Amino acid sequence: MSRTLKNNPRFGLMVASSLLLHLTIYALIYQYNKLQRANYSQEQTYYVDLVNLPVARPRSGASASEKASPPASSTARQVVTLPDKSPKKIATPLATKKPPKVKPASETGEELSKQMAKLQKRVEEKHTSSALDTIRNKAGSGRTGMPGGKGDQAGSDYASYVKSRLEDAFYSPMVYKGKKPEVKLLLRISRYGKIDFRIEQSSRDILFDAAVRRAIDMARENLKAPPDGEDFEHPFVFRPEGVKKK
Amino acid sequence: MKQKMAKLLLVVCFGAFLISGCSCLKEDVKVEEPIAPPVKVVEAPPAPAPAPPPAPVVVAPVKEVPVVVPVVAPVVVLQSVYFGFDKYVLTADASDVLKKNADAIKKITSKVQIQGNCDERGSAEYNLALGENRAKTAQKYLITLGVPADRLSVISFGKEKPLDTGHNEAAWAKNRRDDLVILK
Amino acid sequence: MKSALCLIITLLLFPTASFADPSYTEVTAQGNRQVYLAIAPVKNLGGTPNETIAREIGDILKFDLNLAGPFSILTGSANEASSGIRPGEFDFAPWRSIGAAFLIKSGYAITGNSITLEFRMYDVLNGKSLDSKRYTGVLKDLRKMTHTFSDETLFVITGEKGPFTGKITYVSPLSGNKEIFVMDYDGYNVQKITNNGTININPDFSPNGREIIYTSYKKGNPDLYRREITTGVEARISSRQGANITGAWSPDGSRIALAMSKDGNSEIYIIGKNGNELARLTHHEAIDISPSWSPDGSHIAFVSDRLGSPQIFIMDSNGSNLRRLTYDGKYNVNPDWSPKGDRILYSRQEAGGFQIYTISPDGTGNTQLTTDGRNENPHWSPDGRFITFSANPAGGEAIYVMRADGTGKTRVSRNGSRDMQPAWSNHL
Repeated sequence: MSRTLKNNPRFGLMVASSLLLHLTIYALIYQYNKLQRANYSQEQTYYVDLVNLPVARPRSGASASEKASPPASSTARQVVTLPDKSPKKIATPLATKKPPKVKPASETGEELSKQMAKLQKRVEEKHTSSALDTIRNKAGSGRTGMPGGKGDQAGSDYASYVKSRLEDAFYSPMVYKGKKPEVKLLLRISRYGKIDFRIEQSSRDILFDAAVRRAIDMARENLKAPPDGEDFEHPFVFRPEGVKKK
Repeated sequence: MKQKMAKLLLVVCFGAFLISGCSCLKEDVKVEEPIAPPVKVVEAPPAPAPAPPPAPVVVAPVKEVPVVVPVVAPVVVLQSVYFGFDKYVLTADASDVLKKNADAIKKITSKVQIQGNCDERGSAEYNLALGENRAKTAQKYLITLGVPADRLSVISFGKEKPLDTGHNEAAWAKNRRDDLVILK
Repeated sequence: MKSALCLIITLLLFPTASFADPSYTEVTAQGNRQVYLAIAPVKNLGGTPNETIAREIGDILKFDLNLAGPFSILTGSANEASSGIRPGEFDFAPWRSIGAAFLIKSGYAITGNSITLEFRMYDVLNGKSLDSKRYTGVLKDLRKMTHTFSDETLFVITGEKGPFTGKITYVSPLSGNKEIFVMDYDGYNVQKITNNGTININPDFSPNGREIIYTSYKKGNPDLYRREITTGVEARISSRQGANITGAWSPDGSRIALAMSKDGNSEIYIIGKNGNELARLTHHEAIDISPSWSPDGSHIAFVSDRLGSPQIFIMDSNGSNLRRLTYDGKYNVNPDWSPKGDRILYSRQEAGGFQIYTISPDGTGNTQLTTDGRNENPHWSPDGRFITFSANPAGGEAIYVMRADGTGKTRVSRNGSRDMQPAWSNHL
């Protein structure tokens, strides 16, 4: 068996191409994880506790700072990146453009607000772009980076439209049984816009299943019929927020 | 050629494995990292030894109003002793009061119960223990002043028996006390 | 070589195996949201109609299931008057149209002093019956029977029973001095347990909910007592010289951890449920109090001021492997280990009051649950989904309950006295 494999020149090729494919997938997952983590640490900033800094106590010092480190480091990152640019720009107008007597306040104020607006814009841009990336990643996750997918070209745009309608309506319950509940179902939308679905795999969690049903019920109200005049049929998988496939 | 190819594959595969493994590993570490180090038992702050305590550096417990607590006993009146917040060391004033109390106790034959009390701020449970420490501090000092140990007993009421039910520093200062009660 | 190849192939296959079927389009939730649960007006199913009882049943269900967390409760429905509660006797459409995912219908029938309650739960979107229960009992057990169905509802929907039939024991100075009381978790059926005119504190339920232990000054010294709730049979189980306080029942009900000062100062000990000393766990001249068992009985969390101020520590339940748990804050007390073992509640004294926190036993994930006033003595409900504690938002202290994440804070003790030190029992 193994000899035939080894002697088969196509085997090497097969393995190599498979390897290439998997490396790409690994890289994508890695990238995706990194993005997720970056987003997460930004949110963490809220929890930084400046009041309860470690108190001078035997042993507590080291450990307390250790403890505080995860949130602290994230603020540090924040604090560093923002002023990194702003002080330079703010400092120069203040130092060089000192003379103006009438407008100093308003001008520097304008400058400042412009700078701030720019900065804010940049931050926002960064934010939206990263959010977009996340969405893109999510959207393409099934097909790993090939938007539109293959084969069902006609349906794929409509599928993402349906997906976004469903996501607007889909909230997971406050508690769910397992760690990663998921519901797989086949959604059918007739050419007249009538929605029908068949659950292929339940989450075995009444609350989560109900949330999925409810989402489809809600989406029903403002879902447009398929544009090509044909029945649409597509499989969807519903997952709670923050549960990643691994 | 095949051999080389296989070796190359092995290397690349491990590389890939490492890359993917890395992200997981990091998360694992994050979770485990903050386990508290075993605490070495550090000596508690100057536990009031039987020896007379040194003059405390404690914030003066609000103008030690020499409240003379009218105790049940008709003959001898024993004064209460006051403490700082979350403290059970004797202040200089408190030791003076205890010296007078010791003399008074020596003149009578009754037994004396030292009742430790706290202000309302701490937790009820912790205050029970704190009140007991306050009572025991006074007990030890009275013994060093020559009061026979078998005539003294202690009890803690924690914050259950406030003298002043107010919610201000003046009331709290009055409640952080040892009452010395002559038992009949 | 062969095995190397095998390894490679396995490595290559492994990640693909864990990938979901690529043809599925993923729909990710936008967040968490409560599910609408409708409670239909309670019907009279025979016998004398009694509007008060009908309303009480509905109110109990609403209170319990609202506290539960996953539900947003809807009550009433316009065109329901003539419909029944059993499958086929009513139409799901109106419930569906108001957005309900679940529906509870119920009815009662009173004959003399006895009452029969019938509860039915439906999955509205599926038009399917999920559960039905009928209870018969005396009228005064109405609340208990209804709480039983609330417990059942949580079981059907989440797979884990609710704690609503549990009781809360607490301390109240209602009669002038501090006595021990027991009430339903929602504040009804108040029952006075001690009546000795002295100080009675630190009540804790046995794991089966039938007995409590507490500290009483009734014989002068703060001694530990054990008492059977229904019979009132009481035993003084520890009257060692000095304090016998903060007793905590072991999860298996065979032992009690407590703080005693018989050996000079407050230390943690374990005694049998009849009072025989089994072990001394701490040896330190600082204050050690308030033990709380891990659910498997292997560890004990407690308060010690050995580093200068009260902090939470953890040790094995034989006294070894001592380590410090809390590092933030200067005054951390009242530890209570969760029934699932994953969290420890405690309260921290901060400027102007006490706030409740939870932390993992490994010291991570410290989370603040309350923000204003004085919130003390937090205790888990037996299922770990809720917390009872004392709070004084407007001056008057009272018993409260809230969800484990700090939401849904609700006052449950109803009298005007300063009720405190609550503990929540298992189902009786």
